[in-house]
Amino acid sequence: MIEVTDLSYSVPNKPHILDSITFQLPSGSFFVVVGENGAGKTTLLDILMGFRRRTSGAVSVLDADPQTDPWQARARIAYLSEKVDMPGDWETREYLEFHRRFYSSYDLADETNLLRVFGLASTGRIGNLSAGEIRRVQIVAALATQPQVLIADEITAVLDIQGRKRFLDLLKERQRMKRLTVVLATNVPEGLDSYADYVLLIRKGSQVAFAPLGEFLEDETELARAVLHRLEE
Amino acid sequence: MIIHFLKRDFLDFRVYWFIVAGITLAYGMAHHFTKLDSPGSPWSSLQVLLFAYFFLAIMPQSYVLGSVWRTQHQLSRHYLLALPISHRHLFTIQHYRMVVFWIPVLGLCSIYPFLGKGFSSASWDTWMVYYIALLTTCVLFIEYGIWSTVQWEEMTSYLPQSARMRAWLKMLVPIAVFLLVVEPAWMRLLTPIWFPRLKQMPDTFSFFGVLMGATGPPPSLVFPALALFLIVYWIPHNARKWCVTL
Repeated sequence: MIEVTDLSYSVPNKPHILDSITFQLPSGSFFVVVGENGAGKTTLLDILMGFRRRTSGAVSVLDADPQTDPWQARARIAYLSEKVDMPGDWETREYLEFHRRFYSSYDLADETNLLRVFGLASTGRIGNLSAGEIRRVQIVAALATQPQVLIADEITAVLDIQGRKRFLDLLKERQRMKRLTVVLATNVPEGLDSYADYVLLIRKGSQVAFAPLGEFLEDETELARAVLHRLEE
Repeated sequence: MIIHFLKRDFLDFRVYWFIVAGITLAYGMAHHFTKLDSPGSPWSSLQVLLFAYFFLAIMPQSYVLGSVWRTQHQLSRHYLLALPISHRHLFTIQHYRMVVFWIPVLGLCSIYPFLGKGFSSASWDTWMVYYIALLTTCVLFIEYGIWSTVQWEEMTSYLPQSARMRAWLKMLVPIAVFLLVVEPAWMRLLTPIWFPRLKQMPDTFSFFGVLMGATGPPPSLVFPALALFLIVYWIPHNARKWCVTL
């Protein structure tokens, strides 16, 4: 499903943004990428999406190399990021209408259901919504495309506690029901214990650990404590 | 898919098109009621309208290109790149979207030679210079828009402060070089209008003299054609810079 082998990425002034990252994810797994600020999480996700050209190594997402512009495969991948802004003068309805045109698998009934779950109205300008509400609109648009893979970069940071839980519950449910593979990058691992199947910890571009949750926790009882423990080692 | 984007752009830029229409109407009325162009002068007031169109054409580029750093944009570049559209197709769509804003400039320039103070009776090489320079200049500004948008994004995200001066120069040099290359053509076309007495100046070693020396038929025709040729090589480079995968 997702395979990354010996992935490295550098730019002229920063030689080791990512260094020898390796992991393999089976279909339908919930994968959490954790690390400090500037650890390289966003860069990793950018490479998975094909937004950056890797320096070395191999990457495969849905059996395609993101670097070769596999546009048909992108119809099955949903991308959520804090870097994606939305036009403030569009209405929620207009954004969803614009977005759905690109996806043949888009489910209108699911969109209506998701709007209800996230407490969003389809009218009202996006510019008048809060940062968390804007993310919710993006989540609705992303999930309504019925993706096989969801790649989310720091998306939970701006959601309130209820919104975050609702989002994660929804992902878990879709993971179970529809075999959705979730790749979630965050620097807030608290509360992810009941969702994560695999954890990748990065520090300054280097892979500290990649393991199934149980193995990653070792003697710790919580993911956040295990992350802290490994970072302090 | 192109229509889907263009329809959306039209809705988003309603005010913009309203301004274009307003300027055109205001010009038309001013021309009709105040006789802007005096019969004896080679100057045409249409050039003012042309400059207005030109500035309006370059304004929306950063909105369309969706740079994520410190620019206003409609949809972020990453949103566009994540869509299930081939990046080659997406890059073409982006060009169509930008060209739409050049329609007033291209439209006015295309008919300009046939209007009152145009040069419909000019020799064939003037025609060639004019249309090649026009095409080159439009493509140049569109490609520079793409180049500078991504360059700006790189500058603000990766580069340490010490490397920014070089990056600034890297951003400015291409436009300076290209403008110098198309300059002979525009000088040849515009000098008789703007500086009619310059042609008679004896000092060919003065600054204007040197400029005038470069406005003869060979450089004014060859340089823009050369620039057009270079731009054709610049487009794939920009495609790779904007889309990464291309």
